[in-house]
Amino acid sequence: VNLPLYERSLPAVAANVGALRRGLTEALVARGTDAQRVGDVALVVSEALSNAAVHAYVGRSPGPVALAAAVSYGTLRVTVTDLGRGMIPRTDSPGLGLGVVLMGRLADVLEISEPAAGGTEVCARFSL
Amino acid sequence: MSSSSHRSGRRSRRRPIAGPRARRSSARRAQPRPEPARVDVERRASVAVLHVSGEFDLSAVDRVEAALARATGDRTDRVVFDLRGVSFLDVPGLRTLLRADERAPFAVDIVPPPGPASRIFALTEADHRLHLVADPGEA
Repeated sequence: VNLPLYERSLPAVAANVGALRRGLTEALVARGTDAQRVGDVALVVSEALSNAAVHAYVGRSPGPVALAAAVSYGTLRVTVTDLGRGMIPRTDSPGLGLGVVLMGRLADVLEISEPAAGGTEVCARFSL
Repeated sequence: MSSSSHRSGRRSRRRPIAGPRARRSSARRAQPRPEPARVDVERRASVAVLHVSGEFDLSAVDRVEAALARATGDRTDRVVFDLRGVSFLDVPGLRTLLRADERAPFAVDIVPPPGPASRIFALTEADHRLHLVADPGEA
C-alpha cells in the first residue's frame, strides 16, 4: 500500500520553498498527522528545498526542484529532487553542516544521493 | 489625485457578491499562499529592535539582513531580534541569527517565537550559543 500524499515541482528559488513546504504540511494536517511530526517534516523539507535553491543551480538559471511524499505502512517517505550540479565537496566547511545534522536528527532515515541522471536527491522517512 | 485614490479605496472594500464566483474566490483563498516575513524596526537610544513576523525561512533572509544593516550604526550597542510574531523558523533563518551574533560588534538578544517554531534552538543546540530572552525590554 503506497498512498501518494503530495507531489509538486517548482523552480528552485527561495520564494518557492514556503509554497512547497506549506503544500506538504497542509496535506499532513488534513490527514490528521501529529502536530510535532508535521513540524519535524516541515524543518527537514525546508532544509532540503533551501539547499536546492542555494546550491543546485549556481551560475545558471534555476531549474526545477520536486517535492514528493507518500505514505506506506505507517511510514511517510519524502523526497526532494533537483537536476542541479550534485553534491560538491566544500573545503571551507569542516564536519557536517547544521542543516544535515538537523535533518538526520528529525528523520528516522535520511539518505542523500546523486541519481544517475544527475542532481541531488534527499530522501527522508518518518514513522507516523 | 486624492479623489481618485479614494475611489479605488472604496472599490477595494466592496464586498464580494454571493454566488458561484464568490465561492470560487474563497476556495482560492484556502490554497497555500505565500506569507512573506515582515520586519519592523524600532530604535530605542543605542538599542535596535527588529520585530520579525511571518515565516522566517530562506525567502526572508535578505530582508532581515537588510533591515539589520539599516537599523544599526556606530552608536548601536545592542540588537534585539523579536521573533514573537514568527510562525516558522528553519535553518536558513537560524543561520541569519547566528551570523549576526558572530559578526556584530554589539550584543545580540533573541526573543524566541512562540510554541513549536522555537524548537529549532534546542534541536540544534543554538540555545547554548545565542542569548535568548523572554522580552525585548530585558537587559
